[in-house]
Amino acid sequence: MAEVRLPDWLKESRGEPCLIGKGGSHGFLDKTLANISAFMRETLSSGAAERPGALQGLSPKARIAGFLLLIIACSITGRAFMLIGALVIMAVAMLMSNVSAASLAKRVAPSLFFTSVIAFPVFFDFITPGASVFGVSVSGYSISVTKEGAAIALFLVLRVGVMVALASLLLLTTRQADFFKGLKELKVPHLFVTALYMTFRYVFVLLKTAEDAVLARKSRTIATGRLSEAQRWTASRIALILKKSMSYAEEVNMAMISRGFDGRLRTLKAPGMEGRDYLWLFLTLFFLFLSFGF
Amino acid sequence: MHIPDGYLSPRTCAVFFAAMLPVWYFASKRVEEGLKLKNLPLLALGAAFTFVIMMFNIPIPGGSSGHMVGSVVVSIALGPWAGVIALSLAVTLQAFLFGDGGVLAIGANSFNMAFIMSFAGYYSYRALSLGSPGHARKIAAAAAAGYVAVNLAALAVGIELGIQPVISAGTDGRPLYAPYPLSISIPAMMVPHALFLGPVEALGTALVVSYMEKTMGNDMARARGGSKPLWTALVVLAVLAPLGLLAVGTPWGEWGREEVLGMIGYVPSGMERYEGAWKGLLPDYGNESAEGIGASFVYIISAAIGSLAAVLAVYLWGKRWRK
Repeated sequence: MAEVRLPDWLKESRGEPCLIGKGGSHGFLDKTLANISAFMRETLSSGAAERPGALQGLSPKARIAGFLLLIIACSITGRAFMLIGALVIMAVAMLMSNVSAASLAKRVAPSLFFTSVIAFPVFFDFITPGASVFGVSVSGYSISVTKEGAAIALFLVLRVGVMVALASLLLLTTRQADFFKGLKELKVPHLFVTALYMTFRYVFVLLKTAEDAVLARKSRTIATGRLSEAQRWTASRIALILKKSMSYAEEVNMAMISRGFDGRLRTLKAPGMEGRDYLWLFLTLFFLFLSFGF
Repeated sequence: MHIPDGYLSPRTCAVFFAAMLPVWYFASKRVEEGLKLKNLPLLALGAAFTFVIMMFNIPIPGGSSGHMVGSVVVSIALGPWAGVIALSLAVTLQAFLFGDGGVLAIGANSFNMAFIMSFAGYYSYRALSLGSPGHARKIAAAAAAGYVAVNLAALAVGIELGIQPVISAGTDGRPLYAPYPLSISIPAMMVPHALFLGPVEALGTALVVSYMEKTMGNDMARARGGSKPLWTALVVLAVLAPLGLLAVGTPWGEWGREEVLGMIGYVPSGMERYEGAWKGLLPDYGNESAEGIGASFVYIISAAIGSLAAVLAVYLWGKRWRK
């Protein structure tokens, strides 16, 4: 039996075995995969949108218009009780729409955390001078929380939290198809709606290409590579996806022409607005008008 | 870079929507006379591509990684006007369907990431690669363009946030939106972008453009040349015009009797005769003599009547539309 000899290049040590996800120049693969999977998980799970409920029963245009009015109202108002009022409306709407508080909190938490971090220094007298609520003094340096600072910071956190929660509730109770249908019925220019819909559709196609490329790279990786090599690989994949986008665009254009597509997004004709839609619009408009004065 | 809802006043949001409307309109015209069907997939896929760019983590020294915005890559590949539309589509979709960035801040976010980044990046790249540049100069130009564009956009965000305490404070003077003044908001945005995020954008842009140069030479020619000076001037004017909404005081020409008296020393007879002739159904949203809780109650009734009238208008419009 002939002796099998390993080639010299295979005997060379090329560093430590790659521990995917343990940092080094390969942590970026896991981070990219995590980004893609989190995005897919969040957008492809329809959640409460498929369940029966008060908000889900509204026509898409009334639902979108109503939520926009509420968001505008929360942006206009300068009073905390109006924002708390919006929270109450939201809580009632959630209960009537089978939306769990946990699913909403999951969406609001990142923005709330980010805003809390930003607002934190506002509590203190070095940013907001005013009446001290409590303070500490260490070796001649003193710092205190002021009443004015607390009011400004808490109001900002409350406003951002309520506005993000409203947008999230709209998202949770609206199927993606309904969202585009609603925009169309609200007379948003059809080319814009079609372009948005196509963008939404092809995000997933391109993300699948990206995911395949990253997974393929990860499955072939047995050792930690050089940083410059990892950077070049990432850039080459981005450039490849750009090239694919442009060739897809050509193919989609030809497919559109061959099928006689005229650029208009066709959806099932929606039934007209019903009593509950008008009631929802009345309530949200009422809240908006109140916000002008309070 | 995405500004969430609640940081900008509605007035600022309105200004940026008003500023972006002519830009979107002109960009769609510029891409190809009225955004014809042929360009629709290209713009949609350009927008989808920007999503994917943001997902990719670029490894950087120290074992860490960061992601780029990608506006400059898109504008170099498709041209600045197509870049504006593609990026605006991406920002809109992110706000509505993915909860990234505010719904009311779509105008401001599009201005920063689509308009400023696309144009600053594209023209920096063009200026630095004038003549017949070699591969190395093109890559250096792309890196500089990425760095400049992301820092200019960060500066714009810093200014937008920093003017909020001045233009939208409450009656007691406390900030109602982003609370930090320009002296804090600008360094807070600029330092991380100048030191960390800018170099990541520069590195990513340079590397991607390098591969684009190698593999898509002809496709890169899609990038359009400079715009016509007249149209550029019109767009700049259109962008600047709504900034007047930020001004404080009475709008020009909407003065009351006392203000006119103070300015010119007398009240013109026509104005004296007709001022206040029509006070509206609910002058000042209610009964002027009411005070405290009474005034609030009258205001609430006014709001309810206004809401009812608006819903009735929607109902009648819907009936008419369905016929």
